[in-house]
Amino acid sequence: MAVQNIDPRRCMGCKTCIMTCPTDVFRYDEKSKQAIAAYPSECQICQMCVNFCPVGAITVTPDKSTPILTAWG
Amino acid sequence: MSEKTTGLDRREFLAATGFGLAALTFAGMGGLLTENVDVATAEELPLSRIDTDILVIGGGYAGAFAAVEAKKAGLNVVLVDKGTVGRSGQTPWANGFNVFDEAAGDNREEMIAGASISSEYINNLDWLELQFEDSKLRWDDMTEWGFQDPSLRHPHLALRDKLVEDNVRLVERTMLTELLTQNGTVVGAIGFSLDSEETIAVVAKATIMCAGAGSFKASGFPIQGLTSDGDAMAYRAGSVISGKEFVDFHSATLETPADCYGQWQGMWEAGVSQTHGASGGGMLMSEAFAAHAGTSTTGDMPDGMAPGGDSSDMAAAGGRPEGGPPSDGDSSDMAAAGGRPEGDPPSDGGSGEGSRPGQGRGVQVSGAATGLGIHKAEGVWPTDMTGASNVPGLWAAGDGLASMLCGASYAGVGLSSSGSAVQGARAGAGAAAYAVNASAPTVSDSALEEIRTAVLAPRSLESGYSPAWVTQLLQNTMFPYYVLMVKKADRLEAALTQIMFLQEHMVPLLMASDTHELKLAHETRNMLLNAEMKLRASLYRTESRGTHYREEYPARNDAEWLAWVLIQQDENGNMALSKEMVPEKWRPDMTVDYQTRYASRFPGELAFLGLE
Repeated sequence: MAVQNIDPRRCMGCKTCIMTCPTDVFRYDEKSKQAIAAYPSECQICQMCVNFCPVGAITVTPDKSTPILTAWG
Repeated sequence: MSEKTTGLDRREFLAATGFGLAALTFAGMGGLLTENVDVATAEELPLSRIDTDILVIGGGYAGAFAAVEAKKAGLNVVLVDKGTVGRSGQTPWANGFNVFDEAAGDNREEMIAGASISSEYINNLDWLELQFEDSKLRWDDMTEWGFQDPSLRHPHLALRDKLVEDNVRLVERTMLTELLTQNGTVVGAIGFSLDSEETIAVVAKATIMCAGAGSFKASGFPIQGLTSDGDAMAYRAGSVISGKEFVDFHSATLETPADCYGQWQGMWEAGVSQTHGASGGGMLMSEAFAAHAGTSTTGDMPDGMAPGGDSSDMAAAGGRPEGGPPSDGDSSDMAAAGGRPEGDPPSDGGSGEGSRPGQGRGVQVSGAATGLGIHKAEGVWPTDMTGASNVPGLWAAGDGLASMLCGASYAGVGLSSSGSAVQGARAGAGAAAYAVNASAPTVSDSALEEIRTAVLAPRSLESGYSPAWVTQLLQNTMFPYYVLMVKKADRLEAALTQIMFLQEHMVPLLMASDTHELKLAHETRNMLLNAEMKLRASLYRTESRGTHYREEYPARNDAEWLAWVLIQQDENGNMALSKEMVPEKWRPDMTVDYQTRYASRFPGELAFLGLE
């Protein structure tokens, strides 16, 4: 759904996706020195990250599901 | 009213935020509700303070031009963006830039008539005059800054390059959540960084709000970062807000309704080009009317309505520019196509063959961007032609300024982006002129502490509600067509009851375990305030006009409602509404009969007026 993954074989840790995402989906992982899709539920499928990523590492699909509504949460 | 001389207006702020007050009683009840996996106290998020002359909040067209213009006065300028400049808000998706150029065939009288018809006569022609004067200058600025340079990965990165070149200090990926007020004057703002655990306060002589518009994180349109933060901050600081009763919405596909890019790919790929004229381009309200009637098409509806659309009858009465705009087609063509693009369709744009931006492949429903207002017709109410608010020290520009360049529906393709550029530059000049003569605010760090605690309150809760869950409740209340598209008092009041409960009960318990969730908590609070504004303004305007349709008042009421609805906090902290009449000189020719004056029809309108 929405943002699927960042290909670790391609990501070079440039943080462009972090700077690009309008909804703060990505964060930088200090251990791997790469970006991670930390908050995929926020992905609005605008694909700006895909368009700006210099190495084509990000996959975003058109589908998305929302959580089941609960009485409190 | 406290701390008038030494500190900030603390008590007012705490009352306004609602945050933090319930934290003490709720903490310790964990088990029933989600526990906060990473509680942080204010001490763990230290204060980083910046003192400057001008603070610009938001980095789209309006903010970039405001900062550049203020910098020309030799002032220190700080621009704070929740994302990054040129890549946040609606700016990256703009591909039409409305330019007035008589050498290219534009005509003042035609544009005035077109804008007024589209806006249904509650537009402000003084702000259109600024478009006549400045829009080509701003286009030329953009050209000089290199936005058409094919080597750029995206045209709007030129805005950021220009700010860096001009030594505007950029503070990006930082959400400002509250304006700082001192003696009734705005003296900056406070918020937090997304990338580091720190609070950030910017103390400034003048603040320019360019944070854009907002929706309720509707799917299918690239605006989920826009949550009416600017309007909410300004309102809480005492500003008058207007334009909330009018609505915008866009299409999504039933198969993949969340797919922004499938809808808007064409906008992205088309680049930015000039548009001319003002002949509407607003929403097809008839789609909502058809949904309400239970029909799958608008064919059975009484004269399907595209506000500002085909007003050929008005042209016969002498009010409509003939021939439409030079380049971007008549909005009636859009109506015929069933879509509602906001720019020139690229030759092969969109995700489906022959589709337009905003209309991807598949079955279309008008479910995207629900909750938006009209570009250039919503936000801070200006008191002068620089966008100064009623609160000293606070300016606004762009989609967060209720300039009423457009009125009850969108007046013309590309007016949004060029309007933001024009207004941004004017606000930058106005705020700079003020700041040059203003003394630096003397805000002590200790005065910032209590406000900082409130801003960070969701991080300090040990258990509470997740912002995502409260947002879901908000969406369930506000998204259905029968709340903001087809309105009636009982449904508006029912929705308002829900929204007020969420504000009063849920907001104090919004919980955040990191800076991302802290952002969501503040966004949720701001969206709930915007929902209240939209519902109260919709109840207040007891007529139908443009994109505001009331079932029980299905006609324009020119005697009472050639007016703007103004919203302001009263002395008790309640939302108070009033109206200001449109000046006589801008009203329609009342000797023209009603059905010619307003060519499009609301369901039930003529029967209500006794005209059928």
